[in-house]
Amino acid sequence: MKIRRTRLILSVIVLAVLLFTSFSSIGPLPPLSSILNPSTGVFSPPPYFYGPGSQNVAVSFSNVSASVIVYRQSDGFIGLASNSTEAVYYEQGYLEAEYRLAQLDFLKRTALGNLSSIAGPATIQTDIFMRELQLYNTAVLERQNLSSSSQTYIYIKSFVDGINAYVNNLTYPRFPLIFKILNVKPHDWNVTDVLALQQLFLWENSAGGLDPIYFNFALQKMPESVIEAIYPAYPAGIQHPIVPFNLNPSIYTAQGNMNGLNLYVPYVNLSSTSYSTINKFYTAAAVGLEEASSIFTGTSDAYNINLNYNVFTDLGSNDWAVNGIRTSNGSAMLANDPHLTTSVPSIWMGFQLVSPGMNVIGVTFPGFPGVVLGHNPYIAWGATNGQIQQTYFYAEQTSPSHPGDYFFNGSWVPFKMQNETVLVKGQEPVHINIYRAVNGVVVNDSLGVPVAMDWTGYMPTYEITFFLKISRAHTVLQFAQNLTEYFKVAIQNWAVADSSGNIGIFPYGLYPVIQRGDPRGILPGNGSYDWTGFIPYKYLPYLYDPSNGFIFSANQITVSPNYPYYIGWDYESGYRADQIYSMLNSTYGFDYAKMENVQLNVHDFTTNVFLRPLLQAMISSGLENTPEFSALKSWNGNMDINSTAATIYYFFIKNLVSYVFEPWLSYYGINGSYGLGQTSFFLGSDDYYHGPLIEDLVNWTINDENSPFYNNPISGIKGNETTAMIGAYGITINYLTKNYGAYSSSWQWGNVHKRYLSSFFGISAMNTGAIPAAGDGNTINAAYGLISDFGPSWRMIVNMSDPITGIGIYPGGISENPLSSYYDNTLIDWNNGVYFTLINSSAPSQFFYLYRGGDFP
Amino acid sequence: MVRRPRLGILASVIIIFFFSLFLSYIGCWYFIAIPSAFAGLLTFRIRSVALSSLASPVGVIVAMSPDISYRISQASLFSSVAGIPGGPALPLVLLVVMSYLFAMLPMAIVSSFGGKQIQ
Repeated sequence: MKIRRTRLILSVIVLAVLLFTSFSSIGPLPPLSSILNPSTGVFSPPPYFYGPGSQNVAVSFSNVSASVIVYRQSDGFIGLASNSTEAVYYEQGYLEAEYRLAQLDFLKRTALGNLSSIAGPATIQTDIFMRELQLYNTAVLERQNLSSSSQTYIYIKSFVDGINAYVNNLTYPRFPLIFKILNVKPHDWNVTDVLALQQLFLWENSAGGLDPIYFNFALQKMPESVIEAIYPAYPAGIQHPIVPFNLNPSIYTAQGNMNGLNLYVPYVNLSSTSYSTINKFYTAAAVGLEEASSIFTGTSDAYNINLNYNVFTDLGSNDWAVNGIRTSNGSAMLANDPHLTTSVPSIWMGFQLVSPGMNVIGVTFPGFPGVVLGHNPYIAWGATNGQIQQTYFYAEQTSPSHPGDYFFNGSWVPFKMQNETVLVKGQEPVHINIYRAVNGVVVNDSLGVPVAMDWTGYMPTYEITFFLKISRAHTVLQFAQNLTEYFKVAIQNWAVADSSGNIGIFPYGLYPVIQRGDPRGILPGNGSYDWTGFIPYKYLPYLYDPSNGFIFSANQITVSPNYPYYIGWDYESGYRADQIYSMLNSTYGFDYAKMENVQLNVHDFTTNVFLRPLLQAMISSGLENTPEFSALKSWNGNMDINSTAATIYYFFIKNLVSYVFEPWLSYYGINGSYGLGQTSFFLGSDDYYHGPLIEDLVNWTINDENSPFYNNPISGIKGNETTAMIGAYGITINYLTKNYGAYSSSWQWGNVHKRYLSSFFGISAMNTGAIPAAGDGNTINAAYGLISDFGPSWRMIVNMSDPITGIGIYPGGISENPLSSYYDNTLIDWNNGVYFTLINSSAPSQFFYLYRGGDFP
Repeated sequence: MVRRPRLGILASVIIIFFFSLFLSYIGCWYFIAIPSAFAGLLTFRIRSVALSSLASPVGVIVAMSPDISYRISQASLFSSVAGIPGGPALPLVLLVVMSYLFAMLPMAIVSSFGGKQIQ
């Protein structure tokens, strides 16, 4: 009897404990009863994975009832054809949700500044900054200004209805795994959400960022002569501008603003008494901006789930087009490869959209209707980041006697204040105030020196309309007209080719103009240095059917030195552009093979400048009998995976930049607090392919081997090009020997340098494995860094004489489910330089509509 | 009350197995506690209770047997994301232990009341 009672009591106690632990949440995780549920939890059965092939889908929404042909390809593309355009966008929304629901949800939460509600305190700074960027508020204005009868609204609404149809039919077992882990439920979308996403992508593609804040330190701490020598406003070295003077002199005739600016002195001098306070402020602002520039960066240690999200980082891209002068049959060809974070799932999804009057194929951002980069039967287009400065910073003057005001145009005016509440998982909501001045939004005012950031994206614009319109454009000039009307922010170098053999490149958009001051640093916010307008369209850079037969861009300087307007200064260093120029300028009879040859090229152009002087320096130092010397001497400058010289050179060039400039930055007091290592002009990790420092070295190597900047200002030791090269070389060999042993095949570039696809959600368990990869940050086929997840996120080549033969590939796959066979199925092909024919020859006949003539079936 | 203990154990095993299988399939695996409580009326020895409760995790595993490799991979992915070492082992062990306890404890409680009459 006693035993039974003991059993009873024990069983009841253990059962109570079991029930409590089973049905209680564990940190961010849902209860064990949910997680371990064999039917719906982590042991749930697989969702149905559609294989390649076509099916007919009947859709019915609003006033639309239509049939849609859905054609899935194994290369990550989905074709949609219907006699209703609304039905096509509806189905696109449905499929984006089906394949990328978690990605859509995270993007939307980021744009709305609501990431902390699922990711916890780690992303509060990001949420605050997203709200300072006014992404959602601007989207609300855009929605208010958008007529419900406009085509843009109707198409976005159809797209949103498609997303919601999927979300509303979704049952828990089919939730993405990350939703189950974070205990998140998907929610409905509306038109404003899509417009907020547009704003997010405009920010991600806007150049400028934090540069003026950091560069103000250089302006203050370095003499003007040093600024002129190290940081020239027009980049030194070998430059091939996108729109050089000789190819379009008409845009150089304006009375611009360059004469009124002084680009080598600070206009906001921080006094010594307030300096420490201001520095703290900058550091705080830097954290917010840096996190936001790489989008939600955050580590949720408390929950032991590491999330390090990154929508994408825009490091560089290539696009070019050639016309009949350069092709064998008089047609135009176009190539494009935007260099973004190569993630899984990709930031791209591939679609072919067919409806009456439209047949377009290419890639789009999840959350966007239509096609962002691609081709239709009449035109093909690509883009690279224009690197045009679109953020300007203003120090606002405030006073304790005028609380809540700032001094503007001679009087004290109140900031517009906005109250915001950031919901945070696991803790109380955070309440913030956002202050808006005439010249921007204060990005941080916590320490008494409000600095406002002005950004062209604060104005309501409709870039999504542009993407919807160009799907139906017929000529290069029609494309350019749509750019003029709708594409304002996040200026891109749009390269276009049409079926009539025309080509063009159009970095169109809003270029801010100020009349005085130094926009490279922080400007006074008193009203005298504000934007006075934008460069008139007739003076914006562009090329249309240039006489040399090609156009190209690789994020290099946009214009020649005599362009009359200031448009920015911190460009890609230009070596991909130099290599593209060399290849295009020397090639005729372009066809697919020759275009591929350019796009997959891995020659580092800087070797043309540095390699010979390095060998000479080695000889002068008695190093000519080493195996390293032999490897470098016989090397062609290609960053191939089996090259040991490529490995030596990569570390050499990085060390050379640091060897020369680190003492100077240290001498002038540029340390980590002021951005050392954060940005290319302060020895950031991209300094060997981006920004002015590597350009200076190229310039001095060619023109001034005894530049005084080879001297070490701290030790006082005199130097020159040779001593710098030998110094950098010695550091390189020591490093390689320490990490890879004595010189051997283990030094081969493919052993050191690899590519992988990083999880979009920043979850390392969802990364792909790393594979040996060619290229570096200066090669056309770029692979930035050593273990690289940045590079050509999409490759496309189209011959406009027969655009149905267009080819392309994006790394990864269509699905965000790591267990799907379509998660990373194109990675190896992409790394190996394989292309897929975008419109599969076995596709249903509807997908050839307009390409082969005839009516829509 | 059951006067033939072996038959009671057999009946308990059958009840627990099939309910476990069914409830796992429909996503209510923890409700195995209810039929298990009824099964407690069919047996009273703690050893018999412990033995027949094994049918619960067996039912769960059988319910998961279609696509088992996918399910295990998913659990492994979950472990990696959540920082749990050992791949799918811990979720799997937890599932087995919990499904066992969800069956065993209610049986043990109910059988505590029934033993006297049999004796």
